[in-house]
Amino acid sequence: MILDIYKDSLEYSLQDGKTLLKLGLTLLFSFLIIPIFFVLGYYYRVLDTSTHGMINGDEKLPDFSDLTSMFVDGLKVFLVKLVYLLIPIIILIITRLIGGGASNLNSMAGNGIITVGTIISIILAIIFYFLSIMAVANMVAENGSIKAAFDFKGIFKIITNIGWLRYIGFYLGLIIIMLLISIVIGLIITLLWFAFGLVGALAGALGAKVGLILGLIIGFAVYLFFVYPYLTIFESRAVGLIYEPLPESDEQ
Amino acid sequence: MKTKIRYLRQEEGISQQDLANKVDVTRQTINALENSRYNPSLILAYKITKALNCEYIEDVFILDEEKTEEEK
Repeated sequence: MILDIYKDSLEYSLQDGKTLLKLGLTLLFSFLIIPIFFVLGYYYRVLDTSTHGMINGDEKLPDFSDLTSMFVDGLKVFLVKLVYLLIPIIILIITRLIGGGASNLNSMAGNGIITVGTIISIILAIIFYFLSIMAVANMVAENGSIKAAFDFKGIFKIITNIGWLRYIGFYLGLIIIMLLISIVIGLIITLLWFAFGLVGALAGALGAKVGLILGLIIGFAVYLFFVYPYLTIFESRAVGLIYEPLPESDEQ
Repeated sequence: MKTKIRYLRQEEGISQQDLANKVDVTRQTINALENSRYNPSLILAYKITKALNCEYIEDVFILDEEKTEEEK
């Protein structure tokens, strides 16, 4: 079934070039901070379609409209992710402070506390990251209820229902697929870049410069308007499909 | 695509895991099918039909009629 989820998500994200372009344009202005919330809002919408949808189903990409609600949804996703990451960050800060204080008395003990604290924070960050993915999915599936994002008991049950190893394996597979897509497209762009440079070089030194700059711009545009929006939708769709509502009863 | 898997499975008195073992899939796949979250392959649909002692795939799987009308 996991392979079906990957396949469905790979195809689903390719449905509409216009949507990828709109998402890419929003990403272009993400340095202004606010557009990031629209991207997260669209992530929320894809999750919404997918948590209520069907693997190998025929759902369409959600509309890129009603920007106010999209912004609010994006803000919710951001806040939930932030709160989940705050716990390991707080532990890291506390151990740094204690370690820093202790190193004034005994440098070995201080360094030890800082090292252990950092290791614990990294492990917690990974655990909380995995939890935050399902927390957001649960919030979306429960009609945007923030409470559902922090229903730890429910979230643990949902992941247990999916299977912890299966869930982690699924997400690692997702990361590998996204990396592979990025690497393959990156290689193609690099080849094109060289080709542009080479063609430009035939026209002289200035031509080579123009060719390389043109290649860079095209590469940047492909990543911004196609690769990144595609991967955003792909991840969101796949997470939404692996999400399983809790069984109606304990009877299985 | 809706299914009668949960009903038929309970009639047979078998668990999701038992049915999953019979048709070589995970329990989660059966759960997804019962919750109308998975559109199975024809082979899987056939295996499930046989495992639930039904004769026809249509006895277990129900095509969403409204959607097919729209598609027409």
